[in-house]
Amino acid sequence: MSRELLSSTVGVPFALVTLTLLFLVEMVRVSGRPRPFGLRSLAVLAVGVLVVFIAARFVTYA
Amino acid sequence: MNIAQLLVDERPDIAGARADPVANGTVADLTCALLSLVAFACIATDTHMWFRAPVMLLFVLFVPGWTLLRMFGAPASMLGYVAAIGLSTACLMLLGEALVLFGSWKWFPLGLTLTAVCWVIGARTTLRRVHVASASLDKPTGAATNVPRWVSAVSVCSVVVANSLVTWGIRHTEREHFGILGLVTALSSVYWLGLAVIIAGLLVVCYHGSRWAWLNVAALVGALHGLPGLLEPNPRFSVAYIHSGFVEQIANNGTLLRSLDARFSWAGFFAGGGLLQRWAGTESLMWLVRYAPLFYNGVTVALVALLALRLRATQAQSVVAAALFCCLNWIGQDYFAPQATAFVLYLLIVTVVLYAFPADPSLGIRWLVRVMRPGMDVHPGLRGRSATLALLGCYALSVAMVISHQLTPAFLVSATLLLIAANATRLRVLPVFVLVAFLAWLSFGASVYWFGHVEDITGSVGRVSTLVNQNVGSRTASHALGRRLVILSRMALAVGAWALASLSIVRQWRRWSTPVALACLLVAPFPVLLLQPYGGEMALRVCYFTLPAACILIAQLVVPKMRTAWWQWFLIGVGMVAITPLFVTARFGNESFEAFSNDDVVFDRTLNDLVPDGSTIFLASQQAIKYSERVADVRFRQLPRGTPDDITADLVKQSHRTHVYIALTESQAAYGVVALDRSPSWMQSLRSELESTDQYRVVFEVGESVLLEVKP
Repeated sequence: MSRELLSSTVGVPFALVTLTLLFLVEMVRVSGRPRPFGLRSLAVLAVGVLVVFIAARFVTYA
Repeated sequence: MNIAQLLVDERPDIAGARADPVANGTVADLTCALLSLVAFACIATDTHMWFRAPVMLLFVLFVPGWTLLRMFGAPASMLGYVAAIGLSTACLMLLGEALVLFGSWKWFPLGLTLTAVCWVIGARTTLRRVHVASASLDKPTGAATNVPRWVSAVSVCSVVVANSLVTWGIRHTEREHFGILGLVTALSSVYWLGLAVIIAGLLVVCYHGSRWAWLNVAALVGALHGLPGLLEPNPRFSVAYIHSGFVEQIANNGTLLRSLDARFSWAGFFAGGGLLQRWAGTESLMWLVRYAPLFYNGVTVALVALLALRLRATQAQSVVAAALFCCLNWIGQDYFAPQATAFVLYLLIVTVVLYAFPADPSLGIRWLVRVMRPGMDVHPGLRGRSATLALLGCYALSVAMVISHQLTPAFLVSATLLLIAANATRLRVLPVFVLVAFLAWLSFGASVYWFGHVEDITGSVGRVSTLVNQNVGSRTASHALGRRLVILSRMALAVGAWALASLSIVRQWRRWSTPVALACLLVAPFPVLLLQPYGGEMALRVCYFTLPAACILIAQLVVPKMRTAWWQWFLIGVGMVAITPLFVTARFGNESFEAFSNDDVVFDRTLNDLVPDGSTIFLASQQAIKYSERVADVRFRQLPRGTPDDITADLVKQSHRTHVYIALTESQAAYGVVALDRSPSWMQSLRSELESTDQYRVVFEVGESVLLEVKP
């Protein structure tokens, strides 16, 4: 990943989207509603990408 | 399952009293609407009337949360009231942080909007409730109980008599001469008699199964945790002054000094405090610092009781658990600080998770069930819209915690992971959410904190010898007998609590009814110990986070479920009375240097009036009032080690760039004597040696404190 990407603010909205997805997964679970197709997979993917992004920032700027 | 049915479970005997305006929350609704209106008027007119600060404090601590809960139909229950306090605090911290980061610190329009919205919603809720109540002709029935009428009189009389004795005892305590053991040797014997009367009253009332025992618990919180506030001339603890200074910095300038202190990277608490300061129209929040421990312990005690009632404890056991928490909470993390607020949020989240999203541990993984032998849990929890709203509340509290304190999220992740592993809750994503939120905040919100020195933060992970040395070894290094007694009393209380709690788990395990959730909450903080020494404070935090579960387990061990003989209660009382001197020794053993005399306070004010911007002030120890004002203008540093000539040479070099001072104060002198085994005259000797170099001039003196300036 380039330094421009890592230092940009793109990570902040992406983190907010990921957290919202995680909330939706839990909400669907506890409220007993039928789970939308692919919601859990999307959340797992988003968490994975976000963690890699954050790890890359740590490695680059530590 | 309706949310109302669930949340009144902890007090089923009032379920039939819904038409009562106190029991159904109409009085609280009305009070909140009134408070919102007065708060709106105070902010709009910028009045300087005496009631502005208390009204704003009540507003920010209760009204936004209560208004939100009632808007969605939550009932007036104990959990509802405590949740309102937690939600309000979280709202304040989230709004404060958002305003600092994105809102150009426009506190005035935010204050007007928040109070107006709360007033509109509160008034609407009140009108709706009054309408419903007037339509219902039921008279409150109340539950028939076998409690004799004189029991309430015993509770009230014991509290009145005990409070009088405690007050008299405090007035006859020598306030200026705390010895090496702290408060315990200075307190008048009448104070101890007052404590004994409170505990005796509590046990008599508990024995007869009356709820009036809570009055005695409240008195115990006041007598034990309000003690320094009542006794000492000024608010205690240097870090509380720093936090007040940080709040003032944000309130006045609306900026975060991230490069000055790591705490500005987790500034939710300080930004929330800044909002309160501006809305209250005061110069600082020092007026809150003195009695902050009372607030934190009061809320925590209520949460411990709710948690106990949820986890199969009887009324008597929950009262004893709450009283034990008062007597065992020696850790001293309940001052005006982000960690104290985050701890309350942690406990509230755990309590709501176990009330709203329970699961039956006996239906978990088969081999785990065989090993753990859990008791059945048939608590129904929430479903549908109520569950969604409760979940939203929990997640909002988690976010407020993540932006306010760097350590507490780790405890929450650990606790919720264990609860999920043991099938004590049906939530699955919460720990992942908290972990991701923490990493995201660390990466994007707190980058100034870790840029360039990740090794310093992560270098200690898993290094057990370093962690043990910093957490335990360095704290037991003193050779003075009195100091060792204080340290030993702390270790005795911690180890004793853990041992009794473990014994309680083993006893219930043998009966195939292991309290799995409590065991998880007891064990969960320990893995965090391996992460970071946190300046040698991690062991204290672990003690703090294990304490609620430990107190409930001990109460389940010592108070049988069935009504017992009077002599068993007598023994419990003797045990509690015996603990209180140990508690005071452990909790207030540092009082000789954590308390501040009038001279210390006058010295700090004079210093802030005199030193120019950009000055550097060196301290012989960090046990002094610093950063209480002018956080951005003045820097405090530790005096370098070495001979007076070496120190002076170092400071003279620095004096070419800025004004350099050395502040020697009474609290620093006391710290050297008590904690570092120095002679009583060590500070005088240091001053003489420094002055003999002829490189200093005395700026001013207050009592035994002095400010020296390095001659440029």
